[in-house]
Amino acid sequence: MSFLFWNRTQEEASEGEDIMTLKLHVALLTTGLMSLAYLAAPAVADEWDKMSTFQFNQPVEVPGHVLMPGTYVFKLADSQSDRSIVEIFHQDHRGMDHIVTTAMAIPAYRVNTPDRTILTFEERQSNAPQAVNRWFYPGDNYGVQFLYAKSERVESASNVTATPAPAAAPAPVAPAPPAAVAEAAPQPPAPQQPPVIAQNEPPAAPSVTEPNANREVPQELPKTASEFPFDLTLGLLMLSAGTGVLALTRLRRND
Amino acid sequence: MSVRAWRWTGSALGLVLILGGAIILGWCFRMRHEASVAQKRARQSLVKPPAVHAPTPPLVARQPHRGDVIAELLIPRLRLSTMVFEGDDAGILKLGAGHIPGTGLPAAGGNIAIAAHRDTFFRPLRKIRPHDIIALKTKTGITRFAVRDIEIVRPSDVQVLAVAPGRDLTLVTCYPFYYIGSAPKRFIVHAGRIAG
Repeated sequence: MSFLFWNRTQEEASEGEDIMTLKLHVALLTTGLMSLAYLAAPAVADEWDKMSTFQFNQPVEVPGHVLMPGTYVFKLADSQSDRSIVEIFHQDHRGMDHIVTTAMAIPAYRVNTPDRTILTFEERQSNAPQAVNRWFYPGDNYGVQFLYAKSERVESASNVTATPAPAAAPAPVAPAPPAAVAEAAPQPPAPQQPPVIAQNEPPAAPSVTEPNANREVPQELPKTASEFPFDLTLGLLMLSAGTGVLALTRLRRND
Repeated sequence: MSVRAWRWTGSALGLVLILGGAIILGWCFRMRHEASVAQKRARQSLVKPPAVHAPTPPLVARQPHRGDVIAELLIPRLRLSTMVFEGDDAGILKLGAGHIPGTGLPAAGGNIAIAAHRDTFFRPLRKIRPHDIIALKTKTGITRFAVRDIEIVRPSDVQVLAVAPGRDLTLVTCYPFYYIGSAPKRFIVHAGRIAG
């Protein structure tokens, strides 16, 4: 009896330990999931507003403004109906964001899905700052394209556009690497190759300059024969040949 | 070789052929699917209304970048409809028709040259005739062209892309249409802009 009692007590104790362990596991799992959800939340917000940080080491133009060298945050306005309103913030040396401008844009599309943020520039005259042309968020084929009025372009060329100074002392700008995620749309009378002026922050991978559209007429007409029909025929032939060989083997086996 | 070895070899060969064929067919369907998705997305981007409503000053026309959506090309009689992207390399031509860089643009005029594969997007082009109507649909509107003449040239004859009176749109594809491998000639369709 005492043996039985002892045994039962031991079983009960063991059961209790199992329940405790289970509870601990559940608690740990819940905490882990909550932490994960908490950590994932900012990422979701970034996905929604496409927040991207850029560091410019020379003035660049956005519609209606010229951004002085410094760190800027681009993000889409929190609007369900219009995903083409871009808010641009200046980040001061304390890491605080101050809104500089809100720019209207139009949707842009690119075939190749970017694996990092891409900011393209339109070249202007040598004495005028480059204008931000298009902005793509990593993993999204849809981006935005900034629009400039003709008059605005002329004004910027003669350096009369309003130049708001940064709200605080400009953050120390790290020297830009020799190449950055920037592509410049060439204009026919391009006076000189401008230095690359923007980069993601922090620079994640060795950046690649996107190939510019070749404005010269090609030396040869493009090759317009795809391998699709050949591949399709080859695939079908292989499939039927394989089926035939298998059927033949089975027939021989039955013999 | 014993009977058992023959059977084993036959079964293995059959399975390898079936697997290889299935992989190639899968690859083909994947290519078609990618092209279909790119066409759909490009079409959507073309019909999306611009965020800026009625801008007062005229907007500056920009040179497009590789992969940008240029227009939708339509030939109603041939039931041909394909999206045109900027660029004429293999990657672009897999997804749709490609605008040959350096040639005219719908917004800017000149001789707009568009190329596409003869065995996919431009397959119906073999039935094109003079006076057929070609339409280019862009964000700003629809421009119509009428086929003036058709010619077969060598790949090096790039003068077909030159600006000339009555040549506002040039379509390029490979010729002959039924040919295995890289075709030796190019099929050229010249069209002129028409009103309406």
